[in-house]
Amino acid sequence: MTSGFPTEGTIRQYLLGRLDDQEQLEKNLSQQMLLNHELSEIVDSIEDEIIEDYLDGSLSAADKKAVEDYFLRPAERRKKLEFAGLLRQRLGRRPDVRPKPAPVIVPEPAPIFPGGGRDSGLVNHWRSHFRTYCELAALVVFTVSLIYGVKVHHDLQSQLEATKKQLEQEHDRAINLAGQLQEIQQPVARLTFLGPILRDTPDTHVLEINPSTQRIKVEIGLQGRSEGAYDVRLETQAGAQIWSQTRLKASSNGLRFEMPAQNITTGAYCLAVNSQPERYCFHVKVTR
Amino acid sequence: MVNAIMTAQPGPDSGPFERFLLWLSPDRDLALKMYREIMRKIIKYFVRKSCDDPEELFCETRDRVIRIISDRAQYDNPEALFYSVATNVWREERRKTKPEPLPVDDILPLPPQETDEKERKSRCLDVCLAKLQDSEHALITIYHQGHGLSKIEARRLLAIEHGGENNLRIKTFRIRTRLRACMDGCMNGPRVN
Repeated sequence: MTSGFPTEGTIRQYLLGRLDDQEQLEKNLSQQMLLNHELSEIVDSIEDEIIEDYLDGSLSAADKKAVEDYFLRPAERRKKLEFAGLLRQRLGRRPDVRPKPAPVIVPEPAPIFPGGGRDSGLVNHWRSHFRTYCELAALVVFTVSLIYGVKVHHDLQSQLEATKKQLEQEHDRAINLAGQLQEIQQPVARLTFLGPILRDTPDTHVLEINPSTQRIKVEIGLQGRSEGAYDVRLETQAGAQIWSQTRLKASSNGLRFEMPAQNITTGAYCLAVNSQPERYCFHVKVTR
Repeated sequence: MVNAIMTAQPGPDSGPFERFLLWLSPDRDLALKMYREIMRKIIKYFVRKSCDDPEELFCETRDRVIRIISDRAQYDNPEALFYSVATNVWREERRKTKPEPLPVDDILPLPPQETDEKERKSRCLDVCLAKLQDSEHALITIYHQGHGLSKIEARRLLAIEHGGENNLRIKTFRIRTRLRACMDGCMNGPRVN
């Protein structure tokens, strides 16, 4: 119900005369119903529903009495009741059929000529075997339809098989792509400094990371230096430290550690290892 | 006075009804249109108040309004004045008569045995149903079929399809209104065989 309109229950009470003693409420409702076309239509439709409920026998005893004693007094409402009864009788009798169209008239066979002869013999033959020929024709039509139906079914089956195969191929492809995507978007990036550092320039190493990158695995070749513990710092090119770790154990292959990727933005960075003169610099490019 | 007002032919020296029409609108055609609309609404009001003779009560209301206007009282809203007078007429009517229950035979639809009148109504209904669009025919058929729970379920599904219970109610109401109007035309026209 539109806000501002009385509820369906109130309207029903009004129509059954139960608000007649509540002067102000009755007056407001009557005026609203008179002046508002939309509400007026709703009230009329609820009147129809009361009639439907009465015919269904679904009203309470009190409501049924109110309908018989009060609601159905005006002739217009009794006409509505009669119409409703007729409509449900008509629609209930033939539930899903529209009024039948005019029947198709089968033309009579040609009349027999009074002179007889070959034409009359042929006509007689048609007349006497008419039903048989109709049945034969129906059989032919049925057989042709059946054959056509089988062919269509077969074609559809083949099409279905081909579509299924295609779907499987697409599925496999999708799995492959998902795997590739996962590799691209792995949470770990790798940064490797092997061999001598020829120049301390950020352009030597470019590290690409993306929003899903969580860690950077670093490998620094220590070029024959002994195993031991090292302190490592990550600094911006300006020298500001943004990460460090102490007492990292080196192996014969070099120094391996992981650092977090969260605070790293696009720009130039260097790793400094204590007791090492060189710095291991690289450029970070954060891709979205 | 009712008859005098209704049957008097308007002349150059306008009588009460002509003054009343003039009060509704200086354009006479528009005034008649407004009058018919007010009549429809006030009769509907008396039907909703379940009065025995809504048309008669409308005439009483109209005559009182005409007297009020003739007394040169100033009222700018014809509908409001009609309504105000109609409520008084209704209250008086209510005080005057105590409704008696109508005989059951007078209320229930005609018994199922074939009568000439009933047959004619059935034929008219067939004619009018055939004039509906397919979608409307299907809607009204499904709406009125079945009993009990199956009917409730069918209407619930229809309500979902037609944008809610209220919309469905209004749609079917409008179809029934057109069917009733069509049937009235058919019943009042030449016999349909």
